[in-house]
Amino acid sequence: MIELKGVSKEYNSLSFSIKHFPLKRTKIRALNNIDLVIQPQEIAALLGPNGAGKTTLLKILATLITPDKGTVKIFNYYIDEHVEKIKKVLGIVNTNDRSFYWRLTLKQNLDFFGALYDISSSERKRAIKRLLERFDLIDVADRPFMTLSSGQRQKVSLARALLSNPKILLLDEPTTSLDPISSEEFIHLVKELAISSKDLTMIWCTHNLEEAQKVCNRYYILNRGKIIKQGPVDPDEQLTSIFQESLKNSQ
Amino acid sequence: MKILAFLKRDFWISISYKLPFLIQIIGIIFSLFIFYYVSKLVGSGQNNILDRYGGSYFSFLLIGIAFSDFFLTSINSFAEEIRKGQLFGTLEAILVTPLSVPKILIYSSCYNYIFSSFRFMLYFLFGKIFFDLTFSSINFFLVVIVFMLSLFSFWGIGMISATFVIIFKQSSPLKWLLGSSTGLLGGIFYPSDILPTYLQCFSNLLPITHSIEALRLILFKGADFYDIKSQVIVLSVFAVLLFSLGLYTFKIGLKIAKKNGSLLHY
Repeated sequence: MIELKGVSKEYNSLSFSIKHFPLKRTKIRALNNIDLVIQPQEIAALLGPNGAGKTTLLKILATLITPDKGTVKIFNYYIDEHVEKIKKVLGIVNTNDRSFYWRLTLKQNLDFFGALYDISSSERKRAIKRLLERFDLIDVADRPFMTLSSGQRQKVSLARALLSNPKILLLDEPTTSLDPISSEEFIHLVKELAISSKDLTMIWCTHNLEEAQKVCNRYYILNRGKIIKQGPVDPDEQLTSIFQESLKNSQ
Repeated sequence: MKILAFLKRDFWISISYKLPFLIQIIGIIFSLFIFYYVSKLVGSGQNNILDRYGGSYFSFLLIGIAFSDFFLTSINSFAEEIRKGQLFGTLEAILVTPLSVPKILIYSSCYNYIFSSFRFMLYFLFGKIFFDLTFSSINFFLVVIVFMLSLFSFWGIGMISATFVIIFKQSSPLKWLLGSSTGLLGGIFYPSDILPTYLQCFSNLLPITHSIEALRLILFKGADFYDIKSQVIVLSVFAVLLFSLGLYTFKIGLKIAKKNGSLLHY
């Protein structure tokens, strides 16, 4: 279970100013007193317009940013006290294909990242083979990462996140750089994963409501650092209209 | 073994660029020839200053270059690894693994050390084979002590340098400052005794001055502990102070970067 209580985060922005010469300090509130509980096996869509605070929330969960206020608990571990234990249960997929070593092959990349999770060499080999077969990447396994297509790179990113058998998968706008066909394929893979994995909780951060409707079973709408609406994803109710209405009401 | 994973990663990356490896080896051979001919020129006159190091300028210079190369790796590699990770974009992917940041730094630097050791050995090997480099009877235990004390001092500076990169996203000015002052004041190319007194004061503030002086005395004059007592004491103080300061600043730097959300910025 993921539990956030009263989580707030502000960033300082410095800009040149004649009035406050030389620099003016502006505070940007990214998250404002967030209370959130995500249940195990939930596939949560974290929705919101650009700058709503989605990525900040995800980075806090990934232990890359410390919140200013509030507590974050993941499976009974507090994020400020048990960083390494929390990292062991997390898998992260983002849009940054520069997070791989471009001159290494796909297999070498996965082998390196797998080793950092204390997975033994033989177990790693088995896991890599299984994931490459599952994601239809076996033919390109020995090709340098830089020669892969965007769709293949994103599948490798998912494979990397799954190598350590995470309990929580964080996906930060994973289809942003993909064409519609690759995007559809990626969504299909994640849906399959959700069905086959009994104990996996997913947080899919996106502003694409259609894909959230396809993949997720619960939604959380963020705007200006606050959760303005949440509920189950109902196949008969369009997320687009819920989203637009929530944003309008929160103005 | 996570350290092995880092070594394998860096080995695979380095062999994917074939030319730099070859160029480095050719560079070592070229520089050895340069040292040799410069030493012939310097050694042709009467030189009392070099007598305390065995009299050969070639040996004097070789030790200075080989050890300073190794020590400068310690200062630069932490900061360089972080900067590389920031610029290439791989830092985030490593930071979200269950590996602590200090371990990431140490493991990422291991390949640089191995390569540095390899260069170090080549210097000595070529020096021995082609230029008749000779040592007196060496107290290896003492070499290890001086070497480790020096390494801890340089790791401390390396961590301060890495903190600078984490917070300011720029190559550390310490790298520039130490790089330049080491050549000028560190006693690599000439003994620091020949510097004017006011420059000798600055020279004494650099750990490398004491490291290289002690190592030369051990290697060429067979010095025992009492001969290099003052250098060992100074290096111990440097090691304790700089390493603690390095650890502390790095911890604080990391905390600040996580707090202001800039850990992955570049």
